[in-house]
Amino acid sequence: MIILDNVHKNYHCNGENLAVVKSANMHIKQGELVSVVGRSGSGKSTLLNLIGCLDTVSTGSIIINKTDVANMDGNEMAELRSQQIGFVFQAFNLIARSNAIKNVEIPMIYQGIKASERVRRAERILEKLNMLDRKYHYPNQLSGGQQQRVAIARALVNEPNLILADEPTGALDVKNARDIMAVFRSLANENKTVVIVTHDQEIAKMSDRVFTMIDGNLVEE
Amino acid sequence: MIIYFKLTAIFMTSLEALKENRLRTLLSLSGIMIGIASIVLVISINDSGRAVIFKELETFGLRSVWISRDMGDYYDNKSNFVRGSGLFDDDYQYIKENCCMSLLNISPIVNLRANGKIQIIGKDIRANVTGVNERFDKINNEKLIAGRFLSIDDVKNDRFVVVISQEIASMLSQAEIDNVLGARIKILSNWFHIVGVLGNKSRDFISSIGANKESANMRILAPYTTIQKINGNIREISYFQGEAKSISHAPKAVKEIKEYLNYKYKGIYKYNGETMVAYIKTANNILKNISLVGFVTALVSLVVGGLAVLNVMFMSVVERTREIGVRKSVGAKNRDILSQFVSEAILITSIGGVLGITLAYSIISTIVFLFQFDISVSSVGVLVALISTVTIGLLSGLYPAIKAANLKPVEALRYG
Repeated sequence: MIILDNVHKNYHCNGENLAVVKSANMHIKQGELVSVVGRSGSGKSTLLNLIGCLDTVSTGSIIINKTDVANMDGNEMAELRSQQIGFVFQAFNLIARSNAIKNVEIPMIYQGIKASERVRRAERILEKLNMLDRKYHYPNQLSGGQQQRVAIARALVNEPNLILADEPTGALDVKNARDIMAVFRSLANENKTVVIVTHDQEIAKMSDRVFTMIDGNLVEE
Repeated sequence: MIIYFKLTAIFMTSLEALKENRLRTLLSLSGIMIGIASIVLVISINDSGRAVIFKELETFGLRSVWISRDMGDYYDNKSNFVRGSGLFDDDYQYIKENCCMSLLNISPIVNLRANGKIQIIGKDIRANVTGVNERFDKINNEKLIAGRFLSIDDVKNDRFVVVISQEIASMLSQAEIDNVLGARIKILSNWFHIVGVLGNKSRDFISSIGANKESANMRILAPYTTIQKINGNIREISYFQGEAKSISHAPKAVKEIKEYLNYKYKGIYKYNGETMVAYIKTANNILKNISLVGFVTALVSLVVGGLAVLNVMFMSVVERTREIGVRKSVGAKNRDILSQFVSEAILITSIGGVLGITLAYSIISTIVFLFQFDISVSSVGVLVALISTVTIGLLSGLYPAIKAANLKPVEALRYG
């Protein structure tokens, strides 16, 4: 369950005060698949980063599973990201020198999980995403859709409640985009909350609810 | 346990990152390697050099003192010309029996007047023939390799016996050193029995810098009384060589002897006193300067190596900004990122350090093998090298690592 209450975010840039997110209110239930659409520069990615504890709000509050994240320090936010949140990026952000299974293992490293257990869990999650046969492939040996599956596996491996995806289909063709959305849908069916930021209305239509970001203001359609 | 699994994984990640940039890793690693090797070499060569020099200084007896008449001043305090060494048998008796708290042993030294050519069984050999007493072996740090040293009876009874150096002994008998014992040699017109053989002394370094031209290994020692007899029954002593209680007692011993002599002769003669203290100081100063120059040079190369690591680490942080963002987004804490980069830097410097020590070992082994120099790897040097390795790793890794750790995840993810 995520509650955004009057979230405001501004940046100081060259002496100017730039309000990127002016007012955002949101109430998302566990297991919902939610999209946030908006033009580029509308502040939707910033909103996602705020929810994902990668950035801190200027004013307002964000409550994730009954925890107010607004006043957390860096370590607490890292802890929360590690246990409760999985990120999926437009550019996949896989580490090029590591193969698929090594990439999936990364989040478990920071939880101090033993190597053999890491491999076991990574294999299980790769199997779920139909990527087990490519576990020793390096990112440059995989297609975009495959890379995104590995990235989703990485996001899921610590079994978070919340999946945040920033333009997850932006670098994919229509078929792969649909497949990835199907993955998200099945995650929502498993009672995981999924928030997707996209500029693609077709993708947004596949979610339960659609929010629109207009000039830093969040409105529900 | 959790920490252990985490740190092992971070360490493995470091290895992978270093493997990815093999050439770069190798280059920065060799900088450290050369720096560490030079530190070990400088300290080893310095230690070995010190050992060689002090071994040579010891052949004079480190606690030795020398008292002689000041040969630059032949005039007494009334400007009358005065001949002679200014030292006599009764002075020896007095000093031996009554004088000088700081003195352990003293020997009169009497030079043969007609020094130079000595006929030994048909051969002409140039040797230094010196008259000494029965304590001289202790004073001058002599090692006897055969027979015995001069005895108190030899000295009392002006016996015609000698102790010769190993080099002369080997000229007399190619086969066994013991063969020369009991043999006779002729010095001027006098026949002497050989009673002992002295071990060789190494003064290669000291004579190579011209500090002592006298050959230590062409020596013949006889009772000083016997030499006085040959010189024409003159009860004169060329100079005294004594042994102070310790190196630091030496100047005091000189002062005490000189006080006695000045009191006795009331300014007729002026005296010179010498100790090893000045030579030890000089040797120490020279060694200190040499090692300082070497050490600074080695340090400079180590610092350059450290800067290379620093540079590589900075490049690595910049290149991997996005990776840092990803790692943070999946739950890496600041200290995880910090340990990541510090462990990479320490890994580079440690490998460089171990290779550097190995390099120093092989260079020294090669020198020893090719030139038979007396050098060994200094364990202090290795210790210093290991400590500086870890220090440099920490210093050059810490700053880039802190920069990496403090990157904001959002900004890091947006990079590139």
